[in-house]
Order: sequence, then structure tokens, then C-alpha cells
Amino acid sequence: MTFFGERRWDEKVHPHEAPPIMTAPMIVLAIGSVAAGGFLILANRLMSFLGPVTGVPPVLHGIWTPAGGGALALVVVGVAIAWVLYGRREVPVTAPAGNLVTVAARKDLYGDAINEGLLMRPGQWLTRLSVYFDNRGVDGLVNTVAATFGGSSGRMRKVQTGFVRSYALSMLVGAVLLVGTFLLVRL
Amino acid sequence: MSTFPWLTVTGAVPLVGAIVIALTPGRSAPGGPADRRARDLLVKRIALVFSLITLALTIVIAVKFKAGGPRFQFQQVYQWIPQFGVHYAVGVDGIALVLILMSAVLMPVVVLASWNDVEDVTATVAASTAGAPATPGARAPRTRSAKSYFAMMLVLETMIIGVFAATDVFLFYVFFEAMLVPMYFMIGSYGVGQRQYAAVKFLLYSLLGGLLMLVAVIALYVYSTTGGHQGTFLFTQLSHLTLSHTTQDWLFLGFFIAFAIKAPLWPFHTWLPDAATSAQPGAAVLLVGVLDKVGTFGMIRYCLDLFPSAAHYFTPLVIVLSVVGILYGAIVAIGQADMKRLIAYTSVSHMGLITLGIFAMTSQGQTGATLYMVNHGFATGALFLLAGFMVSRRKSHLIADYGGVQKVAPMLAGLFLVAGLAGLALPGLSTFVSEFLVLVGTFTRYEAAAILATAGIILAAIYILWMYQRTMTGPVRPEVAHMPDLKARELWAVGPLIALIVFLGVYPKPILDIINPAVHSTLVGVHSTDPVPPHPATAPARSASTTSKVSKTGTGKITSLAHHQHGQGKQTRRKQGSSA
Repeated sequence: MTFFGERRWDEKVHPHEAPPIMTAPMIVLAIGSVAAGGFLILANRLMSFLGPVTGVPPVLHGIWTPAGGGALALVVVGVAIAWVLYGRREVPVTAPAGNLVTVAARKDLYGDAINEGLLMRPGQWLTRLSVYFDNRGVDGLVNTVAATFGGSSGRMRKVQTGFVRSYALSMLVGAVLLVGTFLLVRL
Repeated sequence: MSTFPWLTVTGAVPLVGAIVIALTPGRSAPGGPADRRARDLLVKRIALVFSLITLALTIVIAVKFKAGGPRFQFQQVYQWIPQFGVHYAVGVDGIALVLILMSAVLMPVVVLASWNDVEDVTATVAASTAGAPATPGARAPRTRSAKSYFAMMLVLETMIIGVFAATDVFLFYVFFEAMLVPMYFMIGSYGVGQRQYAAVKFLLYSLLGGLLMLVAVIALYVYSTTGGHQGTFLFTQLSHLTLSHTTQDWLFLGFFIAFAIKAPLWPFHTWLPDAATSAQPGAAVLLVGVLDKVGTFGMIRYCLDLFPSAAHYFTPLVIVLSVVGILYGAIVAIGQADMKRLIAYTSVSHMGLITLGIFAMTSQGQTGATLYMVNHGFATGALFLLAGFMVSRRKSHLIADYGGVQKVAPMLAGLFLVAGLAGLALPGLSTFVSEFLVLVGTFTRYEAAAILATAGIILAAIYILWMYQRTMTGPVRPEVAHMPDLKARELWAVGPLIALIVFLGVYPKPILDIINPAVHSTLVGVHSTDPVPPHPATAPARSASTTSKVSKTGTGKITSLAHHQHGQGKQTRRKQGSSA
């Protein structure tokens, strides 16, 4: 899709080759990715290098084992299927709608959605709830204690009416209570 | 051993500085605004000089302190009120010394950072009332006096040194209550926003705790007179008192609630966000960086040593409250829209970690907790100061009012990032060492608590990094587009803190060497030993440490049983010697 087929770019855009500062390291890496595997396996280079640490594995008879051959056959089959499905026809400009599996794959198998729904949004609710609880609940308790004292003192203040008659009455009531208590105790 | 009264002199120097400031010409002196600015500049310079002198004296004390020597050094005991056995007794052990060091380092930093705070507030008040219609009889807004602000800062420093250095419980109580007064004025008179509400709440809440502690202190005195002895308030003698379990429980509660309010421990924390938001950044640094440590210091010094069985009895409760505080403080911090309030809630979370480390009753936990007290003072102090620099430029506390500051003020943003990373205990910075020690020390006894507390680290990453992302990264908001970067004075203020955060993160040994023996003595005093590891090392060629969780700072030596038993034998003899 990227490298073969018809050109798809705009008239004004000019895709060009990368400058040497990008291509030179990539050439080195390309040589490495092709040749490194063979280089390490042939003549038991990697195995003898790691030998003192890992011990020497049992000797393999060449690269062509049943498992290796089967894997290679699978690769060939995969390439064939891809060519049959995509390589022969023109790749459309807009991505097709695709079936359920394709859509799920495009959405990271809904990994992000699960994360957001299960962890992120409840986390946000928990945070907001905690802030509210702290401001109203825990702090509310503290402020309630303060308001209780303030409110009750504001109400109790009203006992002081400023009228001498109320004070005289409360003194009389107090004196009656005292005398009554003495009499009761005597009896 | 010289008998020069080091601690008294160090404590008196800031007070002398405050008196000198008070004697400078004040508002009634003649002259226009230029003269007033010159007078304010003189006041600030005096404050800076005296705080630097105090720092120098404290460093001298720290250098002369013998880490492996007697528990309390630089002791002085004078009779104060003989009828009640009250003494003026000062002395420092390792824990008190590092906390005094931290306060002495923070004070010149705060003086430098608060250089323009008083004028800023006056300007803000004037600007906000300029547009209001003139009411009949209204006067111009009172300009706040820089003289009182800096004088109160120095008085606060004296009280702080007194609190940490006092070895007489009565003297400790006096300083404990007295240090509230300058702080109340600093918040209530010089703060912003709902400053009077915040200041009164702070004062009354702390006084309530202090009154409960007073009851316990008086009860301690009464119990010390049983058996016909002369009653005493001296800590070294009171720690030998044998009290019944019920008595210990009640007295422990009296002390503990006062310290829990001060620390603050959940659910006694609600005064801190309001006070820290309303205070100027410098005052907030002192509030969160130093005053809070008085609470945890009281726990580890007084609650544990005076009431060992009660400390063990209440440990599960404290562990639960600490873990709740860690997670709750972090979650609520994530949801804050105000920068300073967010940092205040992070402080609640970190203090939960400190109390967790103290009450895990392991040497690693308590060493980590004490180290955390020092590191948290620097880290949260730096964070508050940098947030304060941003606020003084943009005049807004809200995170939403900032954006893209790192493009405009890269130095500010960079230091803010370092301070924030210290807040989330990034390895390589000082707070990681202490947090790691606390978590390891707790895990050996209470795995569930340690696991839940470790989750707090993830929450810390959320609140710090999200705040950094919203304020510093992203598109530059037009209102912050012309924000100037850090000035030289601000760099001198916050630079030492950042440097200490990085240095102590790589090389915490000097501090740990002072703390370890003191923690050892405390553990002996609370009749606790480190838990035996399940799989001791079998190879004799290995070092003396027996746990596999040796931290790189060398504190693994403390957890080795052999060293502990040997040390215990030495310690008992040392204790008897110091109380004679």
C-alpha cells in the first residue's frame, strides 16, 4: 500500500528520498537485520560466546529441522494469502468498513475504551467525590462544631435582657432553690 | 566538653534579630514612599543576616555533634519553677538535630522568597479596591508592615528551635503553643483570600489539641510525684516512669491527638489546605515544612518513649489512619483546581507516610520517617516557593489559568519539574530514599499497609505530573506569554533547596549517620525490636546485614540482629548514664 500501486499524493506535495544522514544508518541497520541472524548462528558463534554462562546446548544438525521447515512453509502460505487478498487488486483510497474483527483491531481491541471506562472515569468520579466529601464532610464536621458553639452562644446571650426585673427574678428563683435544697437535705 | 550554651544561643539569635527589627524606624517615621522602601529593605536585610547567622550556628552544632555518642548532647538544665519541677532543659538527639538543621536551612530561603510578598499583597488589595465606589468615611487600604512580617518570621524560628531542642515537657509545651502565635498573624494579617477564616481555624484547631496535651502533661507531672518523689517535667526522668496500661492509654491519647492535629493526620487535616492556600508562599513553606514536623517529631519523641505500651496498643489504629491519609490526601489532591491547595493535600499524604513509618516500629521505618521529615521540608518547600513565584507573576492560584509556561519561563518550569519529581519520590532524589526506607520498614511488619501505601506513589505521579502538564506544557496561554523567568533572588532562594534534594538523593549518609543512633534509642525506649527476617544469610563472607532488602545507604547494618543486640547492651548502659 505504501510503496507499490498508484501515486496518491497531492499535486503540491513532493515526497523525496531521505538525506544521507538518515539513509546511511538505515543501510547499516538493514545489513545487520539481514545478515546478523546467519552470522550468529553459523559456526556456533553465539553459542560458544554465551557458553561459559549458559552452558553449551545440544548440537543441532543444521538449520533445516522439522519445526523450522514448518515455520517457513507457514510464512510462504501467509505471503500467498496476502497477495491473493490484497496484492492483486487496487487498494482503495478510503479504508473499507471492515467486519467486527477489523474494527476491534483498529480500536486496540478496545483496550483504551476499557481503561477509560473501568479505571479513568471512576477515578475521576472518586476524585471529585473525595474533594466534595473533604470540603463538606470532614471540614463540615469541623465547621459544625464551630457553628454549634457560635450559635448556642448567640442564643444564650439573649438571657441577658438588661432588665433589672429579670435579674431580680432569677436571684429570687435561685434563692428559693437553695433554701428548698437545704430544707430537703435536712429532712 | 565546652559548656558554651550552643542551643540557647542558636535559639536566641533569631529573637535578637526580631528585636533589632522592631527597633528600626517604623511607619510613623518621616519620609515618603522611597524612604519607606529603604526602611523595608533594611528590615529584610537584617532578617536575612540573622537567619544566616542562625544557620551558621546550627551547622557548627551539627558538626560538633557526635553521632555515636550519648543520646542527648549540648544539654543544659537550669531550674525554672522549682516548686513544680519545671526546668529550662535543652538538648538534642539525632532526630531533633536534623530537624533544627532543616528549619535553619529553610529560614533564609523563606526570607529571600518572601522579599516582595508584603508589597505584593498591599498592591493586590489596593488594586482590587481601586474600582470600588468610595463609601463615605472609607480610608485608603492599610499598607501592611514588612517590619512585623519579618520580625514574626524570626520569632517563629526561635520558637521552632525551642520546640525541637526542649527536653523538659513543660518547656516543650510552652514553645508548642507559642509558635502558633506568629504563624496566626502571618496567615491572618498577611495572607490572601479567606485569610482570617483560615488563620482562626488553624489557631483554634491547634489550640484544642494543645489543651488536650496540657491535661496529659499535668497528669504526667502528678504521676511523677507518686511515691513521694519530687515531681518533675524532665523528659529523661519521665521516660522511666511506670504507669498502668489504662493511664498510659489516656495520656498517650492526650499527646497523640495534639500531634495528630499538628502533623496533620487524617481526619484532623482540614485546617491545612485552608491555611496553606491563604498564607503567603514563604509562610506556607514554614507551615508545611516545619510546623507540621513538630507534630511528627512529638510522636516519635514523646508518644513512643513516654508511653510504650500505649504506643503498641494504638499502633493498628494509627497505621489505618496513616494509610487512609496517604490515599485520601493523594486522591483529593488530584481533584484540586487550586495549585497551592493541591500541594497542601500532597503534604497530608506525605505526612501519612511519615506516621506510618514511625508506628511501624522498625528501625528502617523510623529512620525513613525522620529522613522523610527533612526531605519533605525541602521538596514541598521548593514546590510551594516555585508555585508562589508563578502566582506572583500571574496573580492567580488556579491551575486552569496557566498553560505552556515552560516555553516562556524554562528555568522556572525545570525547577518546578525537579521539585515535583521530588514530591513523587523519583529515585535519585532525596525523597526516594526516605520513602523507600519507610515502605521497606513497614513491609516487614504490616504487608497490607505497605502495599496500600505503595499505591500512593502512583497517585503521587498522577497529581504531580498532571499539574505539571496543565500548567507548564501545552499551548502558551496569552496571559502567561510575557511571564519573566526566575530572577536572581528567586534562584538563590530555591536553588539551595533543589541542590539539597539532588545531593541528599545521591548521598544521604551524613544525615542518616546522625539519625540512625537516635532511632535506635527510640526503639529501645518503646521496647521494640526489628522483626527477624525469615531467611537469614548463611554465607559468613557476606556483610553483617541479614535482610535481602539492604538499601544502598548502608542502613541495612541496623537491621542485623547481631548489631542490634550488641547495640542494645551498649544503649542500656548509655541510658542510665544520661539520666544520672
